[in-house]
Amino acid sequence: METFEKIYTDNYEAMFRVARKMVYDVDVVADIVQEVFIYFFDKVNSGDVVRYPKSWLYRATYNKCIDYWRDKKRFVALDLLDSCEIEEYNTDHSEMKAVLNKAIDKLKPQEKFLIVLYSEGLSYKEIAEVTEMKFSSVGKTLSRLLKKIEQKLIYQYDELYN
Amino acid sequence: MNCITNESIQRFIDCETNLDESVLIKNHLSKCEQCASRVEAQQKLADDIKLALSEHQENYIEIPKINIPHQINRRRPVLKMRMIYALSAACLLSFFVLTFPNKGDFDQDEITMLESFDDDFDANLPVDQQKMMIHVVDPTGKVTEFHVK
Ligand SMILES: [Zn+2]
Repeated sequence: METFEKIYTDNYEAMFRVARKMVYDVDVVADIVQEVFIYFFDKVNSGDVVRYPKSWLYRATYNKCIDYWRDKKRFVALDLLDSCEIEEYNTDHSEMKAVLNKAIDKLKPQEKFLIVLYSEGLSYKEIAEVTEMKFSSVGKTLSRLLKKIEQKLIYQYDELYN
Repeated sequence: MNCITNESIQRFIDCETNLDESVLIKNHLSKCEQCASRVEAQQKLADDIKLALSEHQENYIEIPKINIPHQINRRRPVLKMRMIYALSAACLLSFFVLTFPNKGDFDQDEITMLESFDDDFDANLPVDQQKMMIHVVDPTGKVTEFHVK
């Protein structure tokens, strides 16, 4: 079994990147990742065996991000949130990326998580392990999600220019 | 050959097809312009998505020192304290056993020492801080009393 320190240093950046893609606020991201590792430490310390630490950490990161969204929704109306984020995109980033990010944000949380894992370069086998989805259905799900994003893009462009 | 499915295209652009599948797909793409452009479009969309999601990424992520709750070390002091309690209990017990042996059965050929605690025995104090009485019985039967603090 690897030591906790090694698992921490080996996986911190990956978890940070994923949390950053799920949640935009950097400070929140750092807190989420820290919490995930403390949670992991407690689990291992209490004698639980985590067979695939990396997959476990991805899942825990996702769950923490969902918790954060849930809390945030209690205080901020979602429409307001969306418009704030788009303004931010428009000042710093190209329109294509902004529109694409908006389309990705419109996906269901677990769908967005799948796309985030995909963007991280995880293999289908790894994606299946993290999301506990059947390996044979990863390709189909991804192609379906890409089509869904494409549809949302078309819809957004229509809204913008027609 | 029929045109390829979106799923096959997806697995193809993600290099998740096996060798046979790859050969079939490549053969088809060389003959079917429509599918070739589908592959191209799907590849572009996938690349754009990856790029868009990486927009907010820091170039360098600093790994902070993690503040682990001191659970690793928390157990040892507890153990140590338990051992101290157990040892003091054992000492006390042995003292009591030694203090009240079967009286009246003294061998009067030698000097016998009997130690016992004072009346105001304080259970909260460690053994070495207890007031103690020692009765020394010499062969003539004379008893001398010492107080030890
Ligand atoms: Zn075709």
